[in-house]
Amino acid sequence: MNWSNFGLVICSLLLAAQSTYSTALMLYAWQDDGKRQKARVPTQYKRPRVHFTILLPARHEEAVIQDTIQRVVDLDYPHHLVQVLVVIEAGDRGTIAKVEEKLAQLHEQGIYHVELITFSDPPINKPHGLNIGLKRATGNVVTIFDAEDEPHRDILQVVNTVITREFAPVVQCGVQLMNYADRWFSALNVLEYFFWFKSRLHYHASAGMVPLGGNTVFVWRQLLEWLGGWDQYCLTEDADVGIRLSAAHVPIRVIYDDEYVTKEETPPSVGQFVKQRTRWNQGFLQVLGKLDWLKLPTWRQRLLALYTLMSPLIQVLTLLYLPLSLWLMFFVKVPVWVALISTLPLYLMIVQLIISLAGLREFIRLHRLPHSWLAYPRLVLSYFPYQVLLGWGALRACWRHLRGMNTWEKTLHIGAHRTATAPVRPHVPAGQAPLGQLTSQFMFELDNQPSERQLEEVIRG
Amino acid sequence: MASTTRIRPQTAGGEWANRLRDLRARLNDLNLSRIWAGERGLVLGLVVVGLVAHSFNMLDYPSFTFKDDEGIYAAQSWAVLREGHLTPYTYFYDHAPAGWLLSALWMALTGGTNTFGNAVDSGRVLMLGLHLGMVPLLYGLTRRLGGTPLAAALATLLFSLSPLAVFYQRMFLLDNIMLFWLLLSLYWLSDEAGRLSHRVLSGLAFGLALVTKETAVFVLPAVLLLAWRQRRPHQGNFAFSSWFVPMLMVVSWYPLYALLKGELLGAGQAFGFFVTNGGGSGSGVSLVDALKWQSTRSGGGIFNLDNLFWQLVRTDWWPRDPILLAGGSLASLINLLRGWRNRQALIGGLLGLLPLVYLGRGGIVFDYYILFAIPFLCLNLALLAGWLLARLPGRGSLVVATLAVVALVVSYSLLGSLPALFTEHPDLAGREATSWIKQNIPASSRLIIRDDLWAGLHEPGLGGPSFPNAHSHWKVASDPAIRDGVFEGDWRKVDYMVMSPGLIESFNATDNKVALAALAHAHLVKRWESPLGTESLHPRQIIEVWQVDH
Repeated sequence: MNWSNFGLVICSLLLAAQSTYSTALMLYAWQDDGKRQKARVPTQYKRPRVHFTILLPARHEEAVIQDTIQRVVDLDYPHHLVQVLVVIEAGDRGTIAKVEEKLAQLHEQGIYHVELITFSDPPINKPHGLNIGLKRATGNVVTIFDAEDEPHRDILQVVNTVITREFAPVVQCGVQLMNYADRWFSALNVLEYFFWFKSRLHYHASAGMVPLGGNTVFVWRQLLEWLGGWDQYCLTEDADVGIRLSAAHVPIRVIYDDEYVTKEETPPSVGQFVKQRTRWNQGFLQVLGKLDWLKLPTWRQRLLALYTLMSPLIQVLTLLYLPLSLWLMFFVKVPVWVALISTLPLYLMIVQLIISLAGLREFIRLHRLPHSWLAYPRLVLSYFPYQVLLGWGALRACWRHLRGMNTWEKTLHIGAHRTATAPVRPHVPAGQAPLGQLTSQFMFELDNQPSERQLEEVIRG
Repeated sequence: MASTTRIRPQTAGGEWANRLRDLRARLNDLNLSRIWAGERGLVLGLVVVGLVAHSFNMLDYPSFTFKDDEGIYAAQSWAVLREGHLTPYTYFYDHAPAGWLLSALWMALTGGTNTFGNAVDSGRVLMLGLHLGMVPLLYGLTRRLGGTPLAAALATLLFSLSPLAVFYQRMFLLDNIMLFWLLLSLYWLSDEAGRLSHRVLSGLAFGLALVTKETAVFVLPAVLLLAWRQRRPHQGNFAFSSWFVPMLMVVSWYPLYALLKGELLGAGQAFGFFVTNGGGSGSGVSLVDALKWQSTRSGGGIFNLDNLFWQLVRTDWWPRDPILLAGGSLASLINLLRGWRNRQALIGGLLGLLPLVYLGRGGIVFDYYILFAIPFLCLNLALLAGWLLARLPGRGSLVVATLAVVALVVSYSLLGSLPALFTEHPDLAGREATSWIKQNIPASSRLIIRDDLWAGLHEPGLGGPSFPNAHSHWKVASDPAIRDGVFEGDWRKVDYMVMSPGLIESFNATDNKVALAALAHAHLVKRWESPLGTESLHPRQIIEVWQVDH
């Protein structure tokens, strides 16, 4: 066997192993009944005791911000236990005007728990806004909603119940794109969220290494403060916080109940989709480069983090490998057994396609959406172009990362550039989070007398 | 791990219901694990019974010279190991190769083909391992199909003690390997918790069964029924695909292999596009043609009491073990009828009857094909017995079951088919012949032999060098590369022939002109006869070496 054959076989086997693993993670939630039960929300709510601070970072959201505020005000939870902070950059006059208009309206109705905060120092991006909000937060638990989000009315009740019952320091609830039939790539984009939040994140939680999502994530305020807030220079500050929390041994609770997910929409165009994907991938590469994941307690967690964060690289490799393997198989004289092995990655891609088809059916059924048989052939047709799109987004991210182009590409409008002064970026504070101390403090705030056993459980995780 | 252990399942009915559920789950776990701890000892005992019954005298009886097939798979394992080819001759897709790829792997891991004697012996040791693996699988499957521990024990005892089962299970045959995968697949599929990963594994195992021996497809209806019954709400829409997709994935490698070699379709239909690869375009073999050929080999027709199936029932299977054959078939039928109200019994009954239907379909059947039915006949007899025994009061069932097992062993002994397995040594003729040839014939000689000696003669060892020019008489008859290539279509190129009774009939049947002509010009050099045994169960092995006079 010559070297090129050897390389081909090794490459195929590695990629196949990777696909098998990612397939297993996709299906983790369906493995047994215990997993299904654990992801569910409680059906009986406990007395509201947690005081929430909801951060609403917004930028050029004139069109939707008033609705967003109204939806947050409408959440089914006592207003005196909720603080809503709308955080906007001072230059964004349009959005600020809309918010002020809305606030005046609310004040007329006697609703005073929504505040507007503006900031003008760079960088102008979401994590910076979050940090500004965090300084003004007074609740026990801080959470984030994005301007386009549609959270479930009961979400605070649900989280209050989970937190007062389990003293979970971090709760990530499901986020789900819904409009699967809008664009050619929508169904597959929706399914990515579906498999990520419904299944894979639970695996991460059980492994103790969770790259958190960007919204509907609930964290004890003091824990966030102890952690040093969000990294303003990271493109995926959410995943970064998750890794740092995990590295500090903080257990993270994941809930995905189909009825209680926060609903979002897919990007409006291919261009936007690729930009979003580029930002995420680049953010993952940044987090990978920060090396906080090396401080995770076990090797299993470190490997899982490495695997998760290097997914952009894997996507690029897959994109390049597939045509190569097909070409080698049919047009280059390689031994038959080498050809057979080199088909493995392609095989597993087809397996994932079939899983996606079944997943789409599952998604439509669980969310009781109108059902169209055309969705399935559409998904099959769009599957390989979508993989190319993913690969392209990943390739772009790698390129930008290598060139040091770290601008925030998120919004439709502009990206704020990095300041010249060297930023101080939060890392994992030394050692484990003082969970025991934080828990007793938290319980004290909740007017709750913890038993020895409860404390011990929380500390042990 | 950290975050999961602390968190309780959230379900309907509030906290108290949760706690109750928790407690019940914990109790269940406890019970199950205790039962399994108790049963583990039992299963271990059953494995020991299987080990003793199967292994004692297993290399001697049946003789490795009894069936060509063992020799063929030994030769093919040898070819994989020594030459990196699927067969020593042209592979013509007579069977999918997973079976002898496994045995080749086994030989590679155990240090070559001759570690346990000759290559057939090596295969037989693998069969022993697979049998010992199948014992707990059959036990677990019986339990999961509603059998009591007693019933499950009965099933595995029959499986390990039936003279019919032991006789054929000892042999190095694809059927035995296929059954291992099949039982593994059924065991995983019947997982009580309905874990998705076990369905995936079950699909993979069934795929492996199919590419080991295609006949596994005949129990597919029963397997699909089981897969359907084992769906769980938590599996969502993945219940079906999680089994089916892995199965298809494994199976599709076989046609893909043929496609890459340019041998998928008939020689005339092959896509020129695909044949850049293997250079197989000239071989003239194809997977589709082979499947057609396999499925049309006749055995006398279905409504013919004299077809191969009924002949074998009368002359071979019934004399070896009438109890399992009649009892198991009857039990399968009864279980199928019980299946009207009990789906588990229905699956059991189907598993028992489908192989019998396959055997009795009127196509070609060989004596060892009964292997396919054996574990399921045991399963059905045990399920029915367990069902009946459960109706007895108190310890009655245990007493009756013990008596039944004792009666079983006594009747097997009286039949004579059981003792022969442990006392007779018909293999001696073949072993002496091998070592005599190795020591007394020049290694470069051209030999026409039977498949049973093939691997032994081609591998150095066993008392002498390798004989690269020893060829199977089947190939001398039909493979142009051997007939016209090696022997140039000329009997004078043949130096020696290894003969045994009935071989001339084969020469005639295959119109083997080279062999017939060579034999006509040959004289007997040496003759071996195995010690006398029970003729009705195992024909006496006679082997002769003839030298051709040029």
